[in-house]
Amino acid sequence: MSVSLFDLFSVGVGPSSSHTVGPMRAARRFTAEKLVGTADDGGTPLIERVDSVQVELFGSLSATGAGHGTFTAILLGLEGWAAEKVRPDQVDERIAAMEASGTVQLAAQLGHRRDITLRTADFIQRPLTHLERHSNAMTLRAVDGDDQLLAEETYYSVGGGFVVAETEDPGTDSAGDDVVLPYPFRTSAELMAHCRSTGLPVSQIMLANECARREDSPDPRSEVLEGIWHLWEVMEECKNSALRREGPLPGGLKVRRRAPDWHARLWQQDPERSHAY
Amino acid sequence: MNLVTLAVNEENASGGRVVTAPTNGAAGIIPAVGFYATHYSPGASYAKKADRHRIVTTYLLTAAAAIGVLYKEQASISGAEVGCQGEVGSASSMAAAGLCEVLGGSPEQVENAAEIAMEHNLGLTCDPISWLVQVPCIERNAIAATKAVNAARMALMGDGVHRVSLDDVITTMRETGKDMSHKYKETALGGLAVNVVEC
Repeated sequence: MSVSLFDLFSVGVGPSSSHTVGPMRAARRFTAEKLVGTADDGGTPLIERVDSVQVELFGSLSATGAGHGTFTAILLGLEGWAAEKVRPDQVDERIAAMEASGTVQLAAQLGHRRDITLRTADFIQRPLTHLERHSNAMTLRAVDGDDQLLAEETYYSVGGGFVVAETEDPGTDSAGDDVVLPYPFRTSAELMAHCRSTGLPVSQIMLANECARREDSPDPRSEVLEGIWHLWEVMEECKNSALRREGPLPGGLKVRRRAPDWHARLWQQDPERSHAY
Repeated sequence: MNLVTLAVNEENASGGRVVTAPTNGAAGIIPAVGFYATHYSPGASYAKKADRHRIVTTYLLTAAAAIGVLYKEQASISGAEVGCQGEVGSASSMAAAGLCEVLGGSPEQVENAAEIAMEHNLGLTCDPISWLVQVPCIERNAIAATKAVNAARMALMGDGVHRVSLDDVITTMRETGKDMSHKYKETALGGLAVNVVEC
């Protein structure tokens, strides 16, 4: 078992983990690993020679990407923004700036800013092409001033924000594969067998596994529990933030927001209730 | 609970910050059932912060994570791969398991809760109108959250012995997804996406 709670539950931006978070992570990985982290024979990081970047989208990423914010998420990823850290206001600000100027600050958030011209309209769209490995596929290429290919990689966004590169084994999309877990399981039958033999509930089996992943930490248990609490706080803040918004949902479908109105009505019906409800 | 799901999914549709649980499209279910667990389970209404901490960690760990791992390992949580059953179905199943343990269920009852919730989300397609994660996604999260609560309650009334195992349902979900036409896998080429006129 290689999947951690913190792989499954990760903080990211909306509206889609496979179409927004995944592509953003893939683009950031490409910039970090292939351009900033790779040098040419002369020892110069490839990022310093990049003149342009090509983005090619396949299948579902291309077909529904516009509505899912895929295209702008890729631009943000190329700039090096991390899906789990970027704030919504930073997203809005950069997208507006990139749309206005047509300039992407490649790797700027990774400390190696290089400005290139790239608009989402330049992306190569192949909505009817489904790559064998997964329908959500994207290929990124970096080219220098002489049209010479510097780097190329295909990434698959396999759901929930998980990303696998073409050159990787599908099983290696999460960290900690070399960790020996006290209660490894892939199936429910194996999980139930651990519960029976230890007398522990499912949550404690999972907690023991999560702690084993952080064996280098002085206090793995507190670290895991604090991490989980942080996820819960983001969930709560997400709900509260929604109640402060107004107007129809973005995207042109003119879908009405219901949460703020419903909250106000429930509050009126039962003013005795704690406001947290 | 409806309110929490709508709020989280509206925030997601607005491009806000959310937790993938396990995906963004299904992000409202686990917070909503968690809200139920922290506000409506026995003793929760006068629970102190430490108690809420314990409920939340038990809920998210158990549950959610342990059962989510099973889906990720054996099937898929991607709408583009297996349809909505992999997103909303998995989330509903995870939430059911988490709530069941919070309410005192045995591991067998927890497994049963996860199995019931998934079983009744099998075959769910992904056909978003205009490629937006709005219709039917937002309301579907609210309905799936109530399914999760019901599944947990049904499992708690039983003794944990059940005919269809969770592994069977997960395998079924994977195979159903494989057989599903690509029109219903997040391509907006079929279903509601073509039958509802945009205005």
